[in-house]
Amino acid sequence: MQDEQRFGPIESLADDALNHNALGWAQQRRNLLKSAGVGVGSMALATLLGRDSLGADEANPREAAGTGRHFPAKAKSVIFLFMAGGPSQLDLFTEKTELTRLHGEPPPDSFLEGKRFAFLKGTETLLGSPQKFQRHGGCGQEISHLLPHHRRIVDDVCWLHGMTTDVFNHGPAKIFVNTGSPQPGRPSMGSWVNYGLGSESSDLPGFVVLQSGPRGPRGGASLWSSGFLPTTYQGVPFRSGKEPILNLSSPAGMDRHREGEFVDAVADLNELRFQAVGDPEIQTRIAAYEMAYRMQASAPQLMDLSRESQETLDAYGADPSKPSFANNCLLARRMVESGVRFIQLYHTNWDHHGGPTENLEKHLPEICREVDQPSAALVLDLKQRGLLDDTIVVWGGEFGRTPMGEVRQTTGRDHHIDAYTMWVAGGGFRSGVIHGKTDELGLAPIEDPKHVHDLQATLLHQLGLDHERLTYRFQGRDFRLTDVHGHVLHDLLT
Amino acid sequence: VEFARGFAARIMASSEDAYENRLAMAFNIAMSRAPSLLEMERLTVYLDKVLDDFRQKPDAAKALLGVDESTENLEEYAAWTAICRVLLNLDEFITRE
Repeated sequence: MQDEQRFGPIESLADDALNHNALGWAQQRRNLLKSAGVGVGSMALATLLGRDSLGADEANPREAAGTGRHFPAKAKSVIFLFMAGGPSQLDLFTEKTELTRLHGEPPPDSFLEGKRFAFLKGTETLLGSPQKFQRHGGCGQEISHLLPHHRRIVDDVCWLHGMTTDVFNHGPAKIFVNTGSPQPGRPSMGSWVNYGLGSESSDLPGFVVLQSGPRGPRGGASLWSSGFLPTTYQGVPFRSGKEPILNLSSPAGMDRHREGEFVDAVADLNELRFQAVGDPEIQTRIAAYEMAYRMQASAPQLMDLSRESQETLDAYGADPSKPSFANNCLLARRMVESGVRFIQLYHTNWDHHGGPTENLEKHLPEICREVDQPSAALVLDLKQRGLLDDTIVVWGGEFGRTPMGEVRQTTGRDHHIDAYTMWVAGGGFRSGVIHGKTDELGLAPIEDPKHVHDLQATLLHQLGLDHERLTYRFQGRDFRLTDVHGHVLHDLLT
Repeated sequence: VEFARGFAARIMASSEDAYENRLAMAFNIAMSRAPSLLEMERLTVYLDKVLDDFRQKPDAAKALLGVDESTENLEEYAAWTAICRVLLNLDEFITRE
């Protein structure tokens, strides 16, 4: 109803003192509409002009845009639980008795040859994990006692061992996972997906980013940038608390109706400017103002966890009164229900090198406690609500950690890009499957190695997008999320 | 909003008193060009609407201006603040091509 009132400026114009001028103006706008063809801009203008013209039944043509699926999709949305900093697969998901036996020994020369690490100098020795492991579920996946809640989801999850990536520093590696390139400037996966499929939600962005932990992820906003894609596809960070989106609230004195008039005036004037100069980024701005107006109503409702039952809050370990990864997991489920296409959660800090603030003794168990229960609860909650079938949950970091220890008074491990672990659940991925194997020290994959580009290709595939055909022409060539790499991991799919 | 208030105060302090001239002046200050006919018409429609609105609801005008007491031309000041807020939010103002 609110929108009906907003989008009817023509009728009120007729009553205006400026009668003939106003009608003349409307008439000319209609002409503009005709001359503009059937681009998204003119569709939106048609919506602004009322529901008697082009796109009358399309509530939000701009958001519905997208290049379209290449084949039927198994999944509609993605929740990417990004473990920022690089979790230690050797202390969480794989027991290496040989590593424990050789604790304190130097690693084999054959392994170190030609290798570079972020910090290791080549003299460090192997570090056995002090964690206790047990096999769980039908698949017998090893889970360390640091992740007791993960025991409950071992058979709901597809385990990816032997993941590899290209870059060993946090910022570039995170950008790599998101954009397929280590340099900033390419579109993020969430942007590609919305570019390809469009958003399902008219009141919320198609790509939302939630953050928790002591600091933001390395790489910052370039992790959810739309790169050279239209900026309307970029990820929108939501904050915890009363004001989830910065600068979203209206000034005092501007009520809902008055703000609607404001947004209409801005949209119309921007539209006129667009007709004059043709800069597509003006369309993005119009869309952003209209989206902001709608989010003023939708976001507070979405972010209000007090609507959830105590039982659900307890399952996640969520406490609405203070920000946490648990709250964000619960919000992610609510966003999937609201039609948000791609939701990314960053939780810092998994960067355990050793030292007073980042070690395996104290800080690894702490962050495991923060992440374990909500991650498992999210999978189980989605499953119980029947949402897991078409929602993909991804869990993992930008890389893993080395079998060699780093000792800076306390112990840690360096960045390891050759063999680390992630898991994926739902959205047509097989469950209770252990895919890939690493050698007895965890140095390299010995079975089914897979690269970040393969995972990207597979995620797109499940959403109905062919990673080789989802392209965007920029500076004279077609770009893809996977560049010239990547193979869909059909073994993982049902 | 603070910028819009300041901008509006500047417009109201000018010697121009016809709305049309004031609108053109405000537009010129923001964009360094004269508004087109269509732009003028759209701004006029909005100005009339907010003037009307704030005259009926002076409390909203006070809230927008951040004042407690009624002053002379309060509604008009609020309406010009709203106009300036629109100008300051246009793509052409925000983006340097």
